[in-house]
Amino acid sequence: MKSKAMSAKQLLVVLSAVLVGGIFAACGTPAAAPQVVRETVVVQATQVVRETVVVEGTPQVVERVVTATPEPTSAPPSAGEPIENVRISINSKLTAPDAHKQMGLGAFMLQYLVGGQLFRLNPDFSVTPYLAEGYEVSDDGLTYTVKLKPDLKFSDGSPITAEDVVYTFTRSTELKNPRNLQLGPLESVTAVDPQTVEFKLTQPFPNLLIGLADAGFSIYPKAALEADPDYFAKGPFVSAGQYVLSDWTPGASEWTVSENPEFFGGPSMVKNVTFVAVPDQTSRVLQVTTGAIDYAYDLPASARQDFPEEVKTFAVPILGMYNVNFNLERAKGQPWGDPKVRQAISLAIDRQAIQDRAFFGISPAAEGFLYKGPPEWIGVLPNGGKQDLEAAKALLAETDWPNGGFGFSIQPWGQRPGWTDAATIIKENLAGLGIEVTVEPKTDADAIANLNAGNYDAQFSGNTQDPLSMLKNQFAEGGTWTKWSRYNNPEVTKALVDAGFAADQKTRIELFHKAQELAYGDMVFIPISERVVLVASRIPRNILCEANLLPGYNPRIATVQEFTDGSGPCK
Amino acid sequence: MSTHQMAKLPSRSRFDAVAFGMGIIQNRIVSRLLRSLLVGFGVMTIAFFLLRLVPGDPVQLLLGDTGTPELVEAYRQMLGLDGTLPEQYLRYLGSVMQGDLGTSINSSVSVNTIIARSLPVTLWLIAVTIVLALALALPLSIAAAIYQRTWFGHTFRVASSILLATPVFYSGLLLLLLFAIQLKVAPVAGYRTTFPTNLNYLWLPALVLCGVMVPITARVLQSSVIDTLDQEFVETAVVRGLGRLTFTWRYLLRPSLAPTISLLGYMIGQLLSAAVVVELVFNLPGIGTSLIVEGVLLRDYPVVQGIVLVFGMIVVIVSFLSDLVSGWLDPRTQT
Repeated sequence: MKSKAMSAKQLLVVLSAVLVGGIFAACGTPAAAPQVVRETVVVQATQVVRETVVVEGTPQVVERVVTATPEPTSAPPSAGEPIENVRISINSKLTAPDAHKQMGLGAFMLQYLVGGQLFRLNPDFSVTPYLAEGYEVSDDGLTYTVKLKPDLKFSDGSPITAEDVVYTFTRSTELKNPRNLQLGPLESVTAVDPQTVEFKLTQPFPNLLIGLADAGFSIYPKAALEADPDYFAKGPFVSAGQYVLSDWTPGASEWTVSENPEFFGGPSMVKNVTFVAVPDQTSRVLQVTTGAIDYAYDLPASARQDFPEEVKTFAVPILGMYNVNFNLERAKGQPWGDPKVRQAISLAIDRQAIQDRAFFGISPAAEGFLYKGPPEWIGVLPNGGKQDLEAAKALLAETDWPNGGFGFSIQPWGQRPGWTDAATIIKENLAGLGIEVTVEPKTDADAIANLNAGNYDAQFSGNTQDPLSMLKNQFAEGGTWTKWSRYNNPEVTKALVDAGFAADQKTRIELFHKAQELAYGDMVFIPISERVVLVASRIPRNILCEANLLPGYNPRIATVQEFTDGSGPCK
Repeated sequence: MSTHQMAKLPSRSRFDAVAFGMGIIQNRIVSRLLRSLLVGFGVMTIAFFLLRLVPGDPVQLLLGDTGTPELVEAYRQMLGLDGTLPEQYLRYLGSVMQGDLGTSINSSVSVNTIIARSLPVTLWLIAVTIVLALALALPLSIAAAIYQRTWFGHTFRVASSILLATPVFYSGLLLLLLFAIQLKVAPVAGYRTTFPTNLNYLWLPALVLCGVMVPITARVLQSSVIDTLDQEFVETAVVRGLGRLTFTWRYLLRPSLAPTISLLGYMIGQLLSAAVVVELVFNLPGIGTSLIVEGVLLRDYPVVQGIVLVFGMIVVIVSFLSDLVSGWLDPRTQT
């Protein structure tokens, strides 16, 4: 008995040692935990090259400056071989794949891949015909005539006709699609002939084409949808886009899209794409690190240096801005109710520090209310948005609070990576003006509830839209953010409304710039930096581009992706 | 039935006594079922009204900054969120009575479907956890009872205290780093529904949940075994020289298990709440992930109400079953 008891003891000793050893091993090596924070700077090699050239028969030595940006080292050249399946992890499940209802990220991405819209957007907010072959605008700017590409087919082989386009927009109106706002003063959509559709407006609205490129207006097959009232609950789905939703059940955390054999731009480099909903960011990082997933979307910027060599990270601008937005109702009688105080606050904010420390170098510091690129942009922030503490102090000295001595709270939307850190940096910056900031992170639900109830001094928030929609939403009467900030400046509203309806591009841009300059005077929104999402991929860049697998949060802008390696957008 | 109760029935035949006993059991079952229904109704009502006290409008959250007042109103009507609170409650109650838990505000998917998809994952996780926990707790507790005054007994007490004090999200991350990242013997996230492939995704989360289960069950079982060891029938069994297996099961474990089984019934609630966190850490598409990610964060009232109702019913049913099993294992607990 004794010897048996001893062996049991020995066994227990061994088991305990293994357990304790396991725990120590787990604690011991940091592995891929995103703890290390480093900054990445796009490396450009600049060199002076001496060349000998022949000018009019005489050899001359000239100096030329060459700037080269290295190609991503681990992206192998395209072998031209199609890939059978790519696995992508994103943060949300696929809600009902109906573009005419409010969609989550999963559905947005889906619409980008399976949805065939009439147009797609270019980086400069011009449009490229997609299902459309071209369009004409009447002289009065009230009628847009869109011609479809010849011989277009849905994935089931049925032809895509003007009737389907009319049905799509009629259904969208009936279902109160939230994205109908993108269509402006649209009065009617009619089929002129099987290949031609006419959009009639009550007022000129140049942004109509941007609206037609919206994911909310994927063209649907009239016959299939009318034949089955439960079409979007179970399929089989018919697509006018690059892929077709081939495997999905409501509530499932995985779904697959497969190549549409009838797609006008086919064949695709990637035959199947499987999406996996993984809500936790760290898990998405680990998945792509271990190779369980090929491509992960929306990752913490702090993790970008911790991926293995074969995983490349890209920053995907989602055409939006991070702002500090004030509640003017609460601001009444408070120091920060004075626009000069808010301008001083803006001058005191170190946007570069926020870009470096909160967003780890992926979100360019703001110079105006819009992201750079579109002609509507204007750099309204003094000093290019760079911190100028002396100017801030001088401006504050012109107010009743020359030395600060007051405080307010900022509510960052705490679930978003970097937002609370950014608010904390602002708190540090404003301490230099004698302003005490309290940072109170809120969940998205609480933050929106507070916006509605006016239960906030200021928030660190984000907005993502095309220039007109974003500026109207923030500054014009009727805009949701305008309502939330309790802001009202009729001059700004008029400038933006007029800009929206201006048929002449020069006048339009002037009005946009005027509106932003006026809005700077009020400073109800302090722009901080551009909104960018980090993605990590094991798939080479060229294949990602070729397969259109770089969707942003807003798939209307899917062609605008920039790469942190400086290689520019997909061509 | 105890000898004490039998003594109260001197005039009844043995058959009558058995029938009487069955009647008592039936009454207890009916009474417990009625209580379960009442608890379910209470949970449903409290969940309904508490949710609406929490700040955050699901329609505003759904529409974000595209939510004009007209659109918000239209969506409220479409989603059945218009009308007064009592009206909404009566509508909800009517649907639940018909077995319809509503439709998710965010995903437009039926809550019944969401639960039907996610509940099996959670039940699998809990089942694997219980099996693993019992496999670990039984030998540990017996050994700790037998060697209670040795180094092993002391180590057991200290280790179980440490495990109890460690939050599951922390131990989950540690084990994820060890087994999934370092050793690469477990996936970092995801799930497969087919058996036995799903066990590959479940064993590690179950091991984390064992950190909650094993210390408690092992300690309770250890203390029961210590009590049992003092019983005379154990000495008799030792004197009779029974085989080790028969002795351990019939004379040591079976009389000691009843409190543990009862405890398991009560621990199911704790296990479910720990499972919510573990599912998030391991990204298992279980009911906990649905509750937090699809329900609470998005203020998706029907999803939260449906899941809370199911949680409540699971706790009630399991504690009821554990009472029955405890009674079977040790008739003394029925008195």
